Amino acid sequence: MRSVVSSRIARGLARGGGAACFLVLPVLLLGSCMMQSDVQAASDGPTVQEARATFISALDKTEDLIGGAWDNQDDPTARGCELLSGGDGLSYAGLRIGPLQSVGVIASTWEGWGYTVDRTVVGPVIQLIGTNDAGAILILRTSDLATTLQGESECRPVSPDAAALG
Amino acid sequence: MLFDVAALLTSVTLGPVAEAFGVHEVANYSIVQSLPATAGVGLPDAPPLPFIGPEPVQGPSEATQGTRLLQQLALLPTKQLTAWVTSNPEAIAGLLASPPPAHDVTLWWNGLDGSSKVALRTSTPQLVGNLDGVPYSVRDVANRAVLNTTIKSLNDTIESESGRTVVETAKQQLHMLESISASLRTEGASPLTRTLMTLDVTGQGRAAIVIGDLATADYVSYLVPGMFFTIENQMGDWVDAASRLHDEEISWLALLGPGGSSSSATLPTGVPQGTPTVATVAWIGYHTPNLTNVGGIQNAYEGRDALAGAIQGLQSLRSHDEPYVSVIAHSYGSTAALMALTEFDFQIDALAMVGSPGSPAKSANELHVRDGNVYVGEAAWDPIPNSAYFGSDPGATSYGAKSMGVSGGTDEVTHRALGASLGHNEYFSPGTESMRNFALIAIGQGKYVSE
Repeated sequence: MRSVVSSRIARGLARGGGAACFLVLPVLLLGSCMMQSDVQAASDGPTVQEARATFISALDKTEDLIGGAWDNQDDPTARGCELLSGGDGLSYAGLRIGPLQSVGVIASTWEGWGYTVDRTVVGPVIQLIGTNDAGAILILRTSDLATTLQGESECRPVSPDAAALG
Repeated sequence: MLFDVAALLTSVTLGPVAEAFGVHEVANYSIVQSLPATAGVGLPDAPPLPFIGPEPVQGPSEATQGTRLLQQLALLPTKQLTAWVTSNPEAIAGLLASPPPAHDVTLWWNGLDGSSKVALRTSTPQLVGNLDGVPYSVRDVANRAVLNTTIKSLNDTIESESGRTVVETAKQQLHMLESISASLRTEGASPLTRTLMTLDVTGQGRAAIVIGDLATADYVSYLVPGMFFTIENQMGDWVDAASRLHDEEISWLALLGPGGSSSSATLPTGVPQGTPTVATVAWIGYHTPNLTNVGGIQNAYEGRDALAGAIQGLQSLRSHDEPYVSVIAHSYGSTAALMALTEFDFQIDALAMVGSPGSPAKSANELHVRDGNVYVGEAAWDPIPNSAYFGSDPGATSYGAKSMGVSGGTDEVTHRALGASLGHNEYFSPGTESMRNFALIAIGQGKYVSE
């Protein structure tokens, strides 16, 4: 799984610290000075809003597969992220809280959608984390109290439609 | 009303107010910097500390002077208050540099009538917006007013015939402030409110933006950044990190129920039962160090005092329904937090540090953190932990903090390595073990934190 978000923080820090990072404190500042090329993302691929729609659709379909009533707490405000190719982009987050249901079918469904799914157990919670090659992430957790579904859409370049919303 | 207005009005202090707006007499109380330094806030329950720097900013005399100045400002009619503030900017700066205790501020504010509150907010927004102990909704209005006014003024300067240096400086400051403005924007019907809790428009700036509602949240987390964090370049990223932590805490609260007490089925003492709520604070409330001063500890003193004031302000405002308070501190920010948690007389519920260069505190027992909820995470390839650059190493076994995993763990089925945090700035991504552990610590479910 690639940490695109914190890489963005690191890149921002590198902007602030400047290239002198490499000259002055190469060991102390290693993490903060991870300069990355600010390569423009390829113009092909979905827009921010299209990536958001795909992500929200994945959440909705997962909800439908699990069933029951869900509380939608999606944050409609875009979040910054780093493009896989470098450079700043935007993504959208989702957060749903649902009922106790079997989630066994979800891992195979996500894999069918092109996600790589990791499984972990945290105390009484079973956690599935799905990531795809474009950087989208889906997280499903279930316990004896609730099921939660969250994640973030693929990171895409800031597009005119997103800028208009801002 | 807390203060005896009649007594004040008959005192020699405010006698001249009736004559000439009270400007000169009130100004006498603004010269707090000239007062002799006195002992810091007492630490009755803490062991003696090595003296490693300046005492916390509040001395009893300074606090008294500051409280008295606030009382006097509140007595001035709006027009005169505005005139005095305009002609005495250094007094406001001095008051903010050595603010009265948050508890006194809260009592003072609660004792004002509505018109006085409005007059103070509109005449001295930079003061009201940054005084810990004033309600957050008031601070938000005041700070947004300062932000918008300053942005407009800078735009005017840029469009004026001013010299190149003036214009370039204005552009740089404008860029910094626009990053705050952008970070406050929400899209659509956002369920999460954003509050501008702190704002300093000067220099490299300072700001704190709250995700959620600090006035009512059951769980409050302060994210404290380290070196090289600037408003201009990192405000948006830090707010995004706070938003992600907010989501993560809500998710785990739903899955595990509220923590923070002996029974995971009930909320901590003072927290009302029902669906728990969360507020996370993207706190850049101090000037983080840059290349020229990262080896020094002066910025940590500033962070220590500012963070202590912020938390004391929360606990003052929420004294009857105190939330579960955690600090998530990164890098140099952990040094500032550790100093605040040893040198000030308040307690929090949990502390998580990542990439910490240490502090003078020798062990977790010295920290004012309840129930030993002190956690330390160290990412692979992060050169900062273990350096003990500013004192002891919080990650050392002898320190007594609990270990917090950030390596990602392994898949239960495939045994494949999962999302790890690598390097010094890789702790805040969604889906990572570090973000999960931050949330568990912040909701009092530390028993599920992975090592």
